[in-house]
Amino acid sequence: MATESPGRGGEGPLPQVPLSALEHYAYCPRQSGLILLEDAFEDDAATVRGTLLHQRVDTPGSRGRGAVRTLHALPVFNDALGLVGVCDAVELHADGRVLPVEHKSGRYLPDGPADVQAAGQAMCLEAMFGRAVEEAAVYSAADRRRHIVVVDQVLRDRVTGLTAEVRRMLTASALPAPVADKRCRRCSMADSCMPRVLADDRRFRQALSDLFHPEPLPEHS
Amino acid sequence: MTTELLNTLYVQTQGTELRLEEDSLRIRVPEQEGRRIVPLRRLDAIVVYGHVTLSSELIARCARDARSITWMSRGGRFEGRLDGAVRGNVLLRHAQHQAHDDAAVRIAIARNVVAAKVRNSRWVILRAARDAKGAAQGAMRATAGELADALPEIAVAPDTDTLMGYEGDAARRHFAAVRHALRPAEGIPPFERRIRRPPTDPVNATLSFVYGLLRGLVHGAAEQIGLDPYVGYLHGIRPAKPALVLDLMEEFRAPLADRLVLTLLNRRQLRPEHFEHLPGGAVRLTEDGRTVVIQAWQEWRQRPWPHTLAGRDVPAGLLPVMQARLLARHLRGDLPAYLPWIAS
Repeated sequence: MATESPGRGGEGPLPQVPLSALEHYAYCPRQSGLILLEDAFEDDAATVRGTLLHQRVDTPGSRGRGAVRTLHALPVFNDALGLVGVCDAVELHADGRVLPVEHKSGRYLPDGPADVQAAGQAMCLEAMFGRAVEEAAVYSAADRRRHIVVVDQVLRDRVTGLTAEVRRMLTASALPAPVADKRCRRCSMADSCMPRVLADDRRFRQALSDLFHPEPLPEHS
Repeated sequence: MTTELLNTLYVQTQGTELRLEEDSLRIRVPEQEGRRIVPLRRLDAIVVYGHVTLSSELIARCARDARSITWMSRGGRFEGRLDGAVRGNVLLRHAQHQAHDDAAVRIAIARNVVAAKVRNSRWVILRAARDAKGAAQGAMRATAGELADALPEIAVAPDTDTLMGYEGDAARRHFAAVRHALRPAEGIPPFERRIRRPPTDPVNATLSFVYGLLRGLVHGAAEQIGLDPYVGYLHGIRPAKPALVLDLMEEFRAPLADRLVLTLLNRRQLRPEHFEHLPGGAVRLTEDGRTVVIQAWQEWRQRPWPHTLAGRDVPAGLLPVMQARLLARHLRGDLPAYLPWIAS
């Protein structure tokens, strides 16, 4: 059982990549860099909503409902991929199906970053339970419904590719460049990221060269 | 007297006791009936002046919550500060140390720090000259010219010792010009020169007190961004001196501290009765005087200032956080230099 916290080495030889980082990285590489490398996680209303929602699902244990047993806050790992994380909820069905259910406070976006995280969870569960997990679910509190994600080969390749990219970033310790587009407006990390300052190279260099050249004295009145 | 503003609790009545009670802070003020209860959730920071008692449980709880406690002397000199466990931005702190050991990077940051101090001092002097007349106006404009003339030398200063020399010259010129801008209340003696420790006149006592407030603000900003407050560039590394805090303070001294002091004295918000003279010559603010300054400081912290890089106005209280972030982004390789804030 991999009990180490994400990113601090697990059972395998690879530097471990936290499942949640896949979602952050898919949304914006720099955002996941700020969280993983610079330990900066800034709460805004959206992340607080997420935290409150997770408090409901993050109490480890299992609750049975007839033909389905639900495990909450289940630590998962896949040493071949070097992935670790915690599943919000995992349903064990009577017919042997294993279904990870990722809880999100915001709206669900098909083919968005949440799919990658859910598929990563499915791939961890496959390795742990030794059976195929072809589907994952994303429960959106905003939509009040569950969205099924088909874990096909295309999505699996995305998970594998993103895992490698996050690992490269962790090893190099350099922050990815900011995207400086509409994503920044909804990002809780925008303050520490400074996308506009970094993107506006011309303004910065102008201000830098002005530093030693003050505006001339006013004319004597 | 306890003042709670902007999530910071200032306690300055001598003999006040602060205790932890569940998730709240209980305040007992001597010779006052009853007690106040403040939910801890509301507070980001506690600042105490002089003889104020805090229970061990309260101190430990604040450390755990990463709520800072700052101890100041009665006169407003910074004495010490408690922060919770250091957070994890080790890459930033490592880059901060590496930059200190790289002579080229270090001198570049230090030059910009001194240039900004000189620029912002010049800006304050020129603003004051607008309201002055005759010889005083002429003297202030002459000082502004001298300050500008020092910039090309600062731009190519070979080492931090040389820079410290320029910084000292600029400070002397600055305070000589500030003298012309002061028109304090009857009974407050004219300001001669900056005297640090201990201040022996009301103007110096006020300057020292406000620098203490500014230092607390900048220290908090450095900590918040994850910088090590004790590793600086202009001020290097000196035992028990938060050198980075002193570096980042330079650009703010004239526009944020000196201007507030000028305003308080010229508007006669501070009068002779707000100062006490101690045996042997030291002068400090009375409790009422400290209350006047702290309340003015809180309003002053909300005042918006233009910030070129941000492309918008930033309240004074957040400028140090903004600048600590810009420094962090430079140290981590995102920006080619540290660009200080220039008042306008």
